[in-house]
Amino acid sequence: MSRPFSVILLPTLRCNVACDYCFEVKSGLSLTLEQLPQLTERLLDHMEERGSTQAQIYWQGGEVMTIGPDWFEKANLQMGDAARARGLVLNHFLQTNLIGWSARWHNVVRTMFGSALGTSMDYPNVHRRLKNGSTEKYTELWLAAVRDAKAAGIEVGVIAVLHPTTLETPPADFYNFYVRDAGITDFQVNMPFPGGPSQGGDTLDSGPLAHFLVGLMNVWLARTGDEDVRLGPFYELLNTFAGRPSTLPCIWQKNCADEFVSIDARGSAALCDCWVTSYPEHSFGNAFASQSLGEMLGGSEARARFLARPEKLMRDEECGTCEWLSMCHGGCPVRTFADKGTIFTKDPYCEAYKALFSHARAAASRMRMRKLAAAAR
Amino acid sequence: MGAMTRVPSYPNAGLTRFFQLHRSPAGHLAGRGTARDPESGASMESTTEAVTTPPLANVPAARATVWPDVPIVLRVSSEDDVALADAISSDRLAWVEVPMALAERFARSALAVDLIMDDLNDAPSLYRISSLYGERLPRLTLPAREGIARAGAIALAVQFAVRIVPLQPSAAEVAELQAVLERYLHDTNARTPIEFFHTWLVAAVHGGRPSLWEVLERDPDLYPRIDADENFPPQEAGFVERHVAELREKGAECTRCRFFDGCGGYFKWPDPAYDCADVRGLLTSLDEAAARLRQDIQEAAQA
Repeated sequence: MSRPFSVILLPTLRCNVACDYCFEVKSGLSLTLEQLPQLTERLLDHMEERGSTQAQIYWQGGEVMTIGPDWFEKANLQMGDAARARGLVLNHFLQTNLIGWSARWHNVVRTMFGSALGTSMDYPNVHRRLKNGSTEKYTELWLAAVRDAKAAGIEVGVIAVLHPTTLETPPADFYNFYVRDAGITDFQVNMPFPGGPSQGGDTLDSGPLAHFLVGLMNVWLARTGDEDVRLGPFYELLNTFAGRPSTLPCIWQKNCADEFVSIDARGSAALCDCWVTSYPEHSFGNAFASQSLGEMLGGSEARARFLARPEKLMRDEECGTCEWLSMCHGGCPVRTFADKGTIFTKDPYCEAYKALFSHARAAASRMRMRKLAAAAR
Repeated sequence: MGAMTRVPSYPNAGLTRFFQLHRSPAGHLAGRGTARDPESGASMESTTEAVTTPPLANVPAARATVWPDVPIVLRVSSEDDVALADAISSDRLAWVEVPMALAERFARSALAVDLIMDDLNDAPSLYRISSLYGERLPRLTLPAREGIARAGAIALAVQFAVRIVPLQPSAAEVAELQAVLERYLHDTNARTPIEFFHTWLVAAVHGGRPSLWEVLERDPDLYPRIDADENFPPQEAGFVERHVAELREKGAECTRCRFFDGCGGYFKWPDPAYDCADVRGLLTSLDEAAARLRQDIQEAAQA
C-alpha cells in the first residue's frame, strides 16, 4: 500500500495584507521557477524512498497569490511533467486569503487545483486587515472574491480562526455569516495560538471556548437537515463516532511529524507552516542544501523531538489513561509550544476538546437512535 | 459437563487471522509434515494448510537452524538471534517473537512479528514503534499486570492488535483488564482485536466458547514452546486435558462455573486454589456485551 505524503509548501513569504495575529515572519523572498525543478526532484526522490506513489502539496504563503497566476501555470507544467516521468502523482491544494483574487486565477484553480480552493476568514473580523489597516474593507474584498470564485464554479472551503470576540458572539450569528452571507457550505473552526510575531492570537480559555463550540455544533446540527453544510471538526467527529470513515484534523493525528513536512521559499523545512518562519530554531534543515529529504528528515534532531512528543506525553501527562486518548493523542505541538514554551506537555485546549468529543459522541448516539426508531416505524 | 470444548469454527479470530493477513503471500504454504524436537523427542506434527495453523512450535533462534523443516514461530532474544533469523527461510516462519528491546531491528522486515512487552512501563514507546513499522504493525503481547489499563489504551490508540496474557491476575489487575475491555468495546477508534476478548466475544455472539488455552496460545499441544520458562504451563502432551480432569476430580469451583467449557481452568494454573471471582466478573462482562451485540444484530436485521 502506498504511504501518504504531504508537503505544505510556502513558495513565497511575501504578503499583501497586515493581519494582527499572523504567526509568520514575512519577507520579500519567493521561490523562483529556476529553483522549482530542484525542489520537485527532492520531493519526488523522497516519495520513491518512502514508497509513496502520490503526494499532496498544500500551497500557502505568505500570501500565495502574490507570485501570480503565470508562475503557477508554469509550475504546474514543470512539476506535472517531472512527476509523470517517474510514474508519480502530485495533487495540489491552494490556501489563499483571496485578497488578490481576480478572474485570471480561474483557469489556474481549475487546472491545477481541481476547481477548489481554501481560504480563511474570521467572524467577527477584528484581526484581518488590509495594509491600510481596514478590517471592514478586507471583509468586503474577501466576500466579493468568494462570490466570484463560486460563480466561476470553484468550490471554496474556509478556515475560521476563533478569537475572544468570537466567543462573545452568538454561535448562530457566526454560522449565518459563513453560510448565509458568504454562501459557504464547507468550513472549519481552528483554535488560535500566539505564534511568532503575532498579536491577538492568544490561547483562549477552555471554558468559554467549549461553550461556544458546543453551541455552534448545536446550531449546525439543528440546521444540517435543511442546509447541506460541512462544518469541521464537528462533521468529522460525528462521522467518527457514528463509525463512518473520517479523517480528523491534523491537531488530533497520532503523530503529525509522521504525516507531513513544510518547506518555505528559502528551502527551510519544519513540521508545518506554523513552525517554518515563526520558530527557526525548530527547523529540520534546508531542502536545497540537502541531497536527500529523507536523510535531512532522518538526521534532524528537531524532528526527532517532535516524533518523541506523544511518547513523552504518555509518560508524563495523564493522556495515557484519558478516555479520549485515541481521539487526540495529546493534541497539537504548536498550540502547546506557543502557550507553554515546550512541546512536551499536552495541548492547552485539552478541556475544550474533551467537551467537544463528549458532545459529538452524544449527538452521534442520538442520531443513531433516531435512525433505528425511524426504521422500526 | 463434557470435556473442554474446542470450537474449530471459531478459530483464534484475531490472532491467527492477523498473522495470516500479515504474512507475505509466499508464506501461505502448505505446511504438511511431522517433526520431532531433537532434544525432548516431542512430536511436532503439522497437517495444515497455512503456516499459522497449529500445532506450531515456538523455537529459540539458536535452535531453529537445526530444527526439522516444518513451520515454526521463531523466538528472538538477542542481537545474535537477529542474524540467525535472517538465515532461516521466511517460508518456514509463521511469525517471529521479538522482545521490545529488539523491536526496531524488525521494523523493515517482511516477517510477521509478535512483539513481547514484559515491562508495561515501555507502553509509551508504542508511539515510536508504530512510526517505525508504519502501516504494517506487529501483534503486541502484553502481560496482565499493573499498568495494563494504560498499556492497553495506548496500544489501541495506535492501532496495535493485542494479546493480553493473564497469569492469575490480582483483583486490581482484573479491574485494569476491565478498563481495557471497556475501551475495546466502546472506544470508537478501537479497530484492532484485543485477545482474548475478541475471539471470546465473536464466539459468544454465536453461542460458542473457544478454549482460552488455545486463544492465548498456551496449550502445549497446539503451541509447544521449546525451552519454556516458568510462566508457561508444563510443555507436556495432553497437559490441558489432564489439568481439566484434575480440577473436575478435585471438585474445584470450576465444575460449577458456566465459563469452564471455554476457560478450561486457565486461571487455575499454576495455583489451583486461585479465587476466580473477579475473573468471572470480567468474563460476565464479555458475555453481556455479546448479548447486547446479538440483540443489535437482530434489531438491525428486522429494521
